[in-house]
Amino acid sequence: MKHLDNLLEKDFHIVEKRKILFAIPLAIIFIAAILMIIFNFTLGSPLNLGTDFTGGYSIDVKLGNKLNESNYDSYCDRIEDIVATVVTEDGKTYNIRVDNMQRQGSGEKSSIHVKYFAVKGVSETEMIEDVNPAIRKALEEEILMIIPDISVSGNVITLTYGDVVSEPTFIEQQTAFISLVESLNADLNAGITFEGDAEDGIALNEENKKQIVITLKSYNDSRDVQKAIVNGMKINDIYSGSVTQGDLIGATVSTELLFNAILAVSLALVFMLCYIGLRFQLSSGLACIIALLHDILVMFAFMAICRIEINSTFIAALITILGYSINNSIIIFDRVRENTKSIYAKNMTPEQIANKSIRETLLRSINTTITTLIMILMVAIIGVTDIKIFAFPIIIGLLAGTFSSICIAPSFWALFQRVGKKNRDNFNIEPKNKSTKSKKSVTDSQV
Amino acid sequence: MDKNNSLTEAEETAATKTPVTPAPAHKAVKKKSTITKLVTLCILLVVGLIFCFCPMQFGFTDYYPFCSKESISLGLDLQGGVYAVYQATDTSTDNFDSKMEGTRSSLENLLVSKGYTEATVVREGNDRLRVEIPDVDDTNKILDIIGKPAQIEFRLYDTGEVVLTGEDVVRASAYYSQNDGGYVVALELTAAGEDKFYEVTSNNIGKYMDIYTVIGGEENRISHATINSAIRGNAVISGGFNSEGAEELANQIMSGTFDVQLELKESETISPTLGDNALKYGLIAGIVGFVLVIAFMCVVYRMLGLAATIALLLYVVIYMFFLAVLPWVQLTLPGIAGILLSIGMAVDANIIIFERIKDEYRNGKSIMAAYHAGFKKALFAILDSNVTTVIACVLLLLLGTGSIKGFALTLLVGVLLSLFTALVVSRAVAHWFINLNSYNEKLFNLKRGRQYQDLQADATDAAILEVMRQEEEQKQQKKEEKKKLKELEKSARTARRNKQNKGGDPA
Repeated sequence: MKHLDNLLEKDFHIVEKRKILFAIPLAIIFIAAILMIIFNFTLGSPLNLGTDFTGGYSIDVKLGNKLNESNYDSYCDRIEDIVATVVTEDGKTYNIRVDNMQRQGSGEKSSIHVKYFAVKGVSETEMIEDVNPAIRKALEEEILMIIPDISVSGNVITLTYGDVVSEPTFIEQQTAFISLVESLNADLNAGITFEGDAEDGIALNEENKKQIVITLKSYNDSRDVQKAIVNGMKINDIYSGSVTQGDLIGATVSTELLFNAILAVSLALVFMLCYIGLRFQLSSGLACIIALLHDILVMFAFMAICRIEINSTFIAALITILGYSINNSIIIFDRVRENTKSIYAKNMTPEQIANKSIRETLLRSINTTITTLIMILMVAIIGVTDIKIFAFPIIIGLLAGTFSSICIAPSFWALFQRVGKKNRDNFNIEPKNKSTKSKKSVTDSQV
Repeated sequence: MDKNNSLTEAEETAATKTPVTPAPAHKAVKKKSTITKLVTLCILLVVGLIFCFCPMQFGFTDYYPFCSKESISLGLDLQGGVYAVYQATDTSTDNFDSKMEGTRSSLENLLVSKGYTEATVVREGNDRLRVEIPDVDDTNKILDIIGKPAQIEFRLYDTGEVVLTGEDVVRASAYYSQNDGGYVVALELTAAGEDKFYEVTSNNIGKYMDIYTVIGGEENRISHATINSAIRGNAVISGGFNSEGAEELANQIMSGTFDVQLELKESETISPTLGDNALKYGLIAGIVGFVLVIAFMCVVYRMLGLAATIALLLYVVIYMFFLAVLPWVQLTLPGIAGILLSIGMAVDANIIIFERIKDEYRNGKSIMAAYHAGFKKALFAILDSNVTTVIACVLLLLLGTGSIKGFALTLLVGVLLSLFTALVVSRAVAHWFINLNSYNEKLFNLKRGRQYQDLQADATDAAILEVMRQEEEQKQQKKEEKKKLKELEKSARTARRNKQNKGGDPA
């Protein structure tokens, strides 16, 4: 603890270092701006806006007990693929982007909740009447099937399933294998002739009952034939799952919400400015607001740089940081107020007063940041995914808020004090001739 | 520190000038009553915590703690369910506002009559209705009921003349009728509707009456019935319905009674399991974080940190109580994170005060005096900083919509509570702790500044003032010395300059 207490006696000359300190957030924002421009051309949008703001649709793929930890990711990959490459009845492709996928329910009710974006320039009716049913159909056909792995050696084709295929399925009261043979016979005609009878050409590997061996008379290794075989041999699994469509997520509603929130926040800022102007000085209020804008910009910059999705919870995060940031700045300005009132103020430059106030509140700033960070880090580490998304911008906002209240707000306050005649009487401000002044203030405080 | 003679320097030098009252012996305070107060508070706290977190049984009734799914009303994102947003297509009609309100209540009635008693319908913005139905598995069923609100028209088959509209219908319901030998749909009409209906039916006995739904200009006939007699009062549509058919027709007619034409804008289903996990892990994160925070406070501020811990525990209990009791507070997903964060922030006021106390003690006050001065000086900083947050919350409450409103409310409750706990509870508890031991600075992790190193922890004001006076004197002396030095330097400089000038002259 000793080194911490020594903090109080050391002057960091933070206000004098403002050029370096201001450069840090400016650099971050600059990088974000450049990345946003790059993203705008490469990925189509500068910020990663969620369906809350862009509008979109959702679909539920109910998989039941088939869904487990190990195959969840592969299911997600496949769904993303299918949604992206969906073709409507009239042969149009849309290249639809999936926003996010969520695992919902457990056991028999397990499902994957897929949200995807509306396509730019495609009308709502077209989306609802053509595209969405096509997606649903494609998902039903592709996802709800058990598709075997295929391996070919000579004219022998081996299909491997994840499960035993000779057990009778509950619904059909018939072994899956027999129904497979039937479906293959029905599906395959041209180009494929079996060795001997059809029934002899297809055989079940009796050892593990998971493999089906197909022996063909002649086999020319073409993808089409392979595809046809896989198509014929996939097990229709529609009984264990279903795809239900079709929630609609409106963009207009959320943008109105956002607009309302921005209106409320701006009004709140005006009122806060008035209050701070009354209780402190107008310049303190302005410095607070600048610090706050800095925090919000830095939060946006990080969201842009890391391309984290911005959805409606981000608004809540912004509001939290708004309160926190103003809070932090005011604690420092309270010290500034106190130090300005003291009899020594007339002998000090505004920079010295700001530095003194920063120094005196530094331990409080650090300790409060630590306690808040502890809580939000726990949320980020332990909480569920959706809360984690909320926690990240808050962590960035907390750090930015601490930085701005120490390094930005007091510096701006000191700058403002040099403007206006009235202020000059309150402090030891020498008329113009900057270079000597700033040097002097440094040497003064070192004595 | 030398206990018997800790004021040595001050005393020795002071003795020569002014008589100083000797440093007080460790003043006996009302220790007993302090301990009683502390113990009472702790017992209250434990009781509060039990009510907050432990489910219990009183006889046959179950008690659900404040912090449980049963007590806190959960937002849709935690509870799971369906929500849908409808927008009015035509806002230019007269009395739009009251019509909207009427639609809102009839939509709610419709849902309640279908058994969704917890369904809520709120107005959002000027022209939207937001329907939230918690705890529902089957979305499609609900969207069948409220999915396609349409305008409804009763027409005569022969002439196509519109005789009644949805405005004339109060209620349509399906039930099994013994008389008709099957399912029927009963219509309850308004007074004006009854008159019109009687007139039309008496003039057109034996003819057909159709019911059409109109959605955006698209007409759809949903019923084709014979007028059997002149009907005064409630009408019954019968014939060949099964239960589902009757139900569907009743729903369609009901949704046509809305005064405003609505269009589905947005709908989503949310799984309840998401909320279960969020709550569980939120609670774990909260407990772990809380323990870490109080550990941090106790390490940095020791007994004062302990006082803050008690205040913080009370904060949690009261916060949970408010969450459970206030009817319009809904816990949402970001709300959980917000509440956890507020615990971290609630310590802030304590930290401000304790740092002030440390400052004051460093500058030579006794522990008790430092405590009083610390609270006094920190008060305005804390009030000012929290008032700004309150301003933001109130404005968001007034202007914000939906989830933002709820978030602002939880934030507001948190801010006010943290003010209360820091300025009242932790103040009182810190006072008691200092009462119990006002002479051991190590218990509170307080340290004297360099100048006051030898001052006793509970030194009286006189002793402190004496030291301060000497400080001031020393400062004055130093200043004078400096002045002298400066003057000397000045004279030396002028002398040098003169010399230089003289030296320059010859050239």
